[in-house]
Amino acid sequence: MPNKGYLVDTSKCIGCRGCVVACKQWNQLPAERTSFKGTYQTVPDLTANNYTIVTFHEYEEDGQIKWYFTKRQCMHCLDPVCLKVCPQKAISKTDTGAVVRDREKCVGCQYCAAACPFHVPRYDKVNDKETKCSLCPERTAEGELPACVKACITGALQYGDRDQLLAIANKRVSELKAEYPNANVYGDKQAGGTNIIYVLADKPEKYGFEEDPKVSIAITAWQDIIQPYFPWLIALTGAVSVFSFFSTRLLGVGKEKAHEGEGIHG
Amino acid sequence: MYDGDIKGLLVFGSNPFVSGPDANKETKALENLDWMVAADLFETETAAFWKKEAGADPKKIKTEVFFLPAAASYEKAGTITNSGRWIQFRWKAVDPVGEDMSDLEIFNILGKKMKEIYKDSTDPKDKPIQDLVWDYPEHDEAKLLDEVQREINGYDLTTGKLMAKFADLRDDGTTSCGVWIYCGMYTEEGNKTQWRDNSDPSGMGVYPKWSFAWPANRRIVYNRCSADPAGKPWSEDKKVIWWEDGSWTGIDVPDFIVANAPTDPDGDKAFIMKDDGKGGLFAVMADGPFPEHYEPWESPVKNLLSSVQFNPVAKIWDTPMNPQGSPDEYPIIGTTYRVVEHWQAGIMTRNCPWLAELMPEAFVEISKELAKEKGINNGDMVTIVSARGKVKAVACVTPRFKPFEMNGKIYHEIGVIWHYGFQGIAKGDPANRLTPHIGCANSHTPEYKAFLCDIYKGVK
Repeated sequence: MPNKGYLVDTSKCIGCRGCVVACKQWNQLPAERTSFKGTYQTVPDLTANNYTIVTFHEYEEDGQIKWYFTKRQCMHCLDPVCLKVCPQKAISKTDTGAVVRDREKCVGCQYCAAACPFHVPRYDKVNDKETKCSLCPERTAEGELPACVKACITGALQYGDRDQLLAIANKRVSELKAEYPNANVYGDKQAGGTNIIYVLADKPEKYGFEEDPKVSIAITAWQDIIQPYFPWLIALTGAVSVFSFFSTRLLGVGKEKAHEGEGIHG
Repeated sequence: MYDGDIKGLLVFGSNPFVSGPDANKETKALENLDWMVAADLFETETAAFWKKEAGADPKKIKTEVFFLPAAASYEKAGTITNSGRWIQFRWKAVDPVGEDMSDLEIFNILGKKMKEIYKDSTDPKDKPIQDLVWDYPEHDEAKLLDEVQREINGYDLTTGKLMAKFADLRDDGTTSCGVWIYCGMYTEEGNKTQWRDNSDPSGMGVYPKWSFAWPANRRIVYNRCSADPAGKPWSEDKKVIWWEDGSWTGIDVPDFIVANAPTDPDGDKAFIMKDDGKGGLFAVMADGPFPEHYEPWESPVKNLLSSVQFNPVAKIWDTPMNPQGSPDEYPIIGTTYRVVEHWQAGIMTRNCPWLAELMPEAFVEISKELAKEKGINNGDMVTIVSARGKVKAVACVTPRFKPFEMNGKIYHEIGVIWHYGFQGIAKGDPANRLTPHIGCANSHTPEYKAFLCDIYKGVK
């Protein structure tokens, strides 16, 4: 099966947030108490009850007003770091590349949140689980569109094969270039590529995105070096702990080393 | 009502406490009522005008208020008519919650009660109520709706058969019809408002069998205009009705007398509703026909485009509580508008938690320049005051608002979001406490969009 995702064409987004309400309705997420603080973005960031939000960005440049809207949610990475770091193997990819979590297996350890280069998963304190957008696999498996895409009235959201979405995105960006010289495709290569593809009319930072989101070195070490050797590493860290206990107590040195050991162990 | 002449009010799906211009006055007027019957999905501000949160003193108000829980559009069947003139039937999706009833059922009960109360009256003024035929079925919403739809279409009083078209209606008492333009929507062939055939044989987007289009299921009015006086289509790509082999043919119901050939004296008359059959640039209206710029009733500037400052035929209600503000006292231009998250006076959407989360309270948009002048920061609570009232709102300082330079002087404008009231989850002051009670000369639409005001930081 080809990778599937959706295109977020910010040049067609009117900031109506129909996608946000559709997501909350489909996932039966309760509303949170908010207040108006001088921006239309009344939900400041993703929360355990908001798998997706629309962000509002207002600029005045050369006497021109720019009011950019974009949608934030799980990017559904081609090579998801969250999947690699999850000690419970609660995160997996569907056959169309959606990154989903098994609620039963999740123990709320929040490794995925720490690892995510896009800072997406949110901790649900009430249920002690991590939460995020799942790309509506229960809908798409039945031939339905993801709830947010279904609700989008302007066509800013389009669901489809990743390759096709990239082609549409590249074409759209080339059309936008005349009016928006900084227009670009986002998600084609960020974090190794994602199934959510963006058409941005301006530089990623203008939308609150990082140009080149990075996974922290500690996490890289975890996924590529430490985790593959996990079984015997436990034994090793145990040994380090024993060693450090003695070294700290008996010799009065090696405090920092002991802490590093605990840090990795979690 | 303000003068005390009107004693009772039925207010269905309407919330003038929030939506009426000069809302303080509209609210004050409600206090003069003996009784009010309000029907809505949630208790509106209008229905609760007597409460302390409304700014009223409940002890001083004698109005008896009845609040009836109304069924939402999904909880009842009925029709909606769109601006394309399609009368579309909508089926009930779910049963009403609790004791909710459709407006139609509520009116049916009210009508029956009214007939009962007046049945023994000897007062001649009650005769119309006694003569009124009101034999609708009870406790069967679907049957009630069906009967009302048949009655609106009309029927032959001798045979009892439904009328096929309005041209068959007679003024000799042999036929009946509720609304002549709707005649033909429900005939012996069936209820055409329920038609759901989305085929489009002409490929022109006509959809002749999708619901019923008033009048006469005509999809394009004045369609004689699609052909030239000789009956030849102006455009082959967009031909609707044309003259061919000695008769009219086409893809829509003709909107002219088909007995007339193009060569007949009236054969080129395309506007059937006009006495002379011709289109007109001029119409009989209180205002017009030529456009002219007039300043709003309250304006900080002199009209530069006309020697007349304000529209001389606009309707100004010369009553108490509708004072006109002067630019010396209220130098800022005010306007009101909506946000997509809320619908009109907001009683449906302000009670919806997901929408309340997105737009939780009233706010006012102001320029950075005005904010600096008034010492207002983004997110501050501010007060806006006009000659008629004042409201508080959160300041949204934005470059989207800019001061105007007019006649070499700087003028500021602010925009207040108006959906809010004290009921529901998302709350705020009704911005219409600021707006004036004047109306457009033709339609009496209130001048909501321009008034004079002032703004200051904080609430006092």
